[in-house]
Amino acid sequence: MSLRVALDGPRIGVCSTIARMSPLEFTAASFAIAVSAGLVGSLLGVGGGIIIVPGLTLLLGVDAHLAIGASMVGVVATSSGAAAAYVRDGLANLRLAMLLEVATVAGALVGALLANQVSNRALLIVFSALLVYSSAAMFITQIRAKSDKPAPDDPLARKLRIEGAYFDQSTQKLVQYRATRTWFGLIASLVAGLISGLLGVGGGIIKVPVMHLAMRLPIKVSTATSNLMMGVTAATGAAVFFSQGRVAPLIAAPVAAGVLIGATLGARFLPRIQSQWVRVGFTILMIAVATKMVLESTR
Amino acid sequence: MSDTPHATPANRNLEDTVGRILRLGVIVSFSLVVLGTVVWFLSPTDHPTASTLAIIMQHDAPPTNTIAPPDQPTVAPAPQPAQVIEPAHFPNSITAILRDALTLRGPALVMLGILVLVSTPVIRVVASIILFAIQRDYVYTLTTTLVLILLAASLFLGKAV
Repeated sequence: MSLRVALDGPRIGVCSTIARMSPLEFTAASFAIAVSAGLVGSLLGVGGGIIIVPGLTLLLGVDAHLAIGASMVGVVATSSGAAAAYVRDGLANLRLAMLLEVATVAGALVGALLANQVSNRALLIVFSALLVYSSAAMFITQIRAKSDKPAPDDPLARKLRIEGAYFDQSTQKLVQYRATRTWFGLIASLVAGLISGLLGVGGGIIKVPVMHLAMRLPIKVSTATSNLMMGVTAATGAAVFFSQGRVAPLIAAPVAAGVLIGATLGARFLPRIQSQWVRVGFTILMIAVATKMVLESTR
Repeated sequence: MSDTPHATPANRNLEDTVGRILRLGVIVSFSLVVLGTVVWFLSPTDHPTASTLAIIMQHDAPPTNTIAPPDQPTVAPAPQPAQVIEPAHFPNSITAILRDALTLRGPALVMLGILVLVSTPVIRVVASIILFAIQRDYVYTLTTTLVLILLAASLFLGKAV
């Protein structure tokens, strides 16, 4: 499994022994990747796709389209698995979710249809760009101090009544909020949907920063709303991929099962870690993976 | 699901029902996927082989977008012995999947489980439509119905393009 093999070996995966894997070993390996994705997803608040797609394509040499199709199923599993436990949290803003979802689903439709026209190489390159963006977004959302100035009035937000309130368990206070820059939110949702449909990720990595930083929604509301939307968006992409015959049962099975288990275990036993060091480590990993992806796709 | 701090009993019931449906859907989906995988691997004639793996691996050819005929069997076809291998087309017909699942074919059970999983978000959307309708919020009933229409379109657009 040396770097030499990876750089000038056969195109199939990192290691030539992968090509000699048995179906059972492949299933077990995919399952392990999916469980990790579910666990890390719970830990860091990301969707599983950002781990599943690189894991399947780089480590196991799976065709990018099929990996993305399977990953989309995994994202639905993340969203519904969590929702099955926490539907009534009162944090997600349902009106905002459905409003933005119109744009996101439209974007996902276009993205998924586009994905099937595009080569493995192009998908990997775009995915690396997403990884680099995600590394930055992961920090900017945290570091950027929330401005104390009240959100500027947005007539569209008022007309569409996307303000809301929630009861914060940690401060035991009712928090009321307003939204702003609705148009920007809609456009960003369209882009997030496109990315989701094209690359099989949840899209939360775009939506959460936009909702929190641009639309000035509380972080808890942004995260919960994004998780709610993630399932619908991924279901759209998965349906397109399914219709085009790009959901392979051999991959989708261990991914779906693994993510469900990982997400359930993570939600139950792992507290959401805010540690900067975990995020630093994950960011370094993402950049390393992005580099590997670019290398792999330019061979 | 309710974004107002004081949910009415009607909303609560709906949310509880949705939560229960989602939980059921996830459990059914998981069971089908696991059962299907076990049946598939244990099958004396149809179990996954090296060629099953070969058709999901990366290869050099760019993808084509020929759509398989609607009645193709759910077990993926063997790869052609040509130099250029197209990405194989996996099960994409709901009727074929249902038919094969009833005869307990592994891949079909797996695909059925996947279909159940992918339909769980649809349940949340439908529940939202009902919730908005109960609240007489017509703008959002329409908006959410639009989301549902787009979701339905995804099943058809994939086949058309």
